[in-house]
Amino acid sequence: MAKKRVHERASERSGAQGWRRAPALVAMAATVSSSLLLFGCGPYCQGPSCGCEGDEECILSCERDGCDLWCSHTASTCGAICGDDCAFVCDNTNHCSALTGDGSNIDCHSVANCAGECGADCHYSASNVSEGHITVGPNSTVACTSMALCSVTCVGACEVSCDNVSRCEVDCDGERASGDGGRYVCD
Amino acid sequence: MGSGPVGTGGGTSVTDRPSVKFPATLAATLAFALTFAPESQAQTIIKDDAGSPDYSVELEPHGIVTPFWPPRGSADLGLGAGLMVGINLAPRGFIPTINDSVALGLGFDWVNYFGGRAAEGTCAEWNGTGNERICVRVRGPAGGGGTYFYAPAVMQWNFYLTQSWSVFGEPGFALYGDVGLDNRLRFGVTPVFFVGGRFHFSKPAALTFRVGYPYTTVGLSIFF
Repeated sequence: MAKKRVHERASERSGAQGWRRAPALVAMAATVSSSLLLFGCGPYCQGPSCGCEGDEECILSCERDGCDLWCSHTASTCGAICGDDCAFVCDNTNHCSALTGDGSNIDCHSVANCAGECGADCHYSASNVSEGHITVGPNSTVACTSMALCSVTCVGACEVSCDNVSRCEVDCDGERASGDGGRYVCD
Repeated sequence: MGSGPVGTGGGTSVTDRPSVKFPATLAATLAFALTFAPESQAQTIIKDDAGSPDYSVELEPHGIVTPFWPPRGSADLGLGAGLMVGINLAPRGFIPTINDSVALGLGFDWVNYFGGRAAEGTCAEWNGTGNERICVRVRGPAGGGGTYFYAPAVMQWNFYLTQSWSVFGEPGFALYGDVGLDNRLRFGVTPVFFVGGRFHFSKPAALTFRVGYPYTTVGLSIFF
């Protein structure tokens, strides 16, 4: 017991004086963390350097918001899976696949097929494409240009424009929309 | 750790070296501790095996920062919070001539990862067929960050250097879980390893930091 009391008194003394060293400890922890941060970061995926040109199939997966993706020049398929506010450009391949969240901006051009599904407030643009099969969420817009078939399914309100499209089919929550000069609206 | 593991020091001088060789990181932490501590607190107690800690359980809430990628995917930065519970299994540790102790650390940590680059791969699962097919899952790790939960279980080996400072190593494993864009909860196991230290500023509490994989923490230890 006597020994323990000595220990306690020593500990109390050290505690009182030790508070003065707290800033030094915090500074050390911050320095270590900052050092790790500087050397631990990976590059963002922006532009073709992050794509997979030349591969047979390339699907870009970015499971967060705000991804900026570009895939082109694959032999068969390019695709993207990403969260909200995703920007995806897909070109010069056979099949483009896109699965994105709300507020996304998708550009599919110069390919055989575009297939995509995005959330609300999405803007999907397809041009110089044989077939497009696109599903969009509420308050979205779709622009189809120079295509053989543009098939759009709107889940909620949307606006679809077809320019130089052989067949433009717009489905509004299960009902076929009628176009007016290549413009289709789902309310 | 608690209050102190504290032995009297037995007159050991600052310049005396422990007979056991520590890993380089622990040695560096020891050097830091002894450099910045007043002489009265800098007396080493590492050889005083009788000065074993008198706590049973340690609760350590902490903040988390990490530069490492999550187990699946990538990220530029992870921030979070968590709690580590230490159960003092061996107050006198493994080495009879050293003031050490061994605890079982069980934790629960939440980390939200930011940034990160996309992953490239082939499709593992398609919805639809033919020209209408849409890839909904890729093979291998997904890109980007996300929210992860970790439940680490570690062996915490503590070394009591001075009355104010102790250091520890924590090898172990962690069960982790994350929710992908497909809203599926995925689980996995990852090895973890930490090296850390405590600044014992009072009898029932200490400032605790650890660096390692998968994250760095700074927290407050409360001993019972």
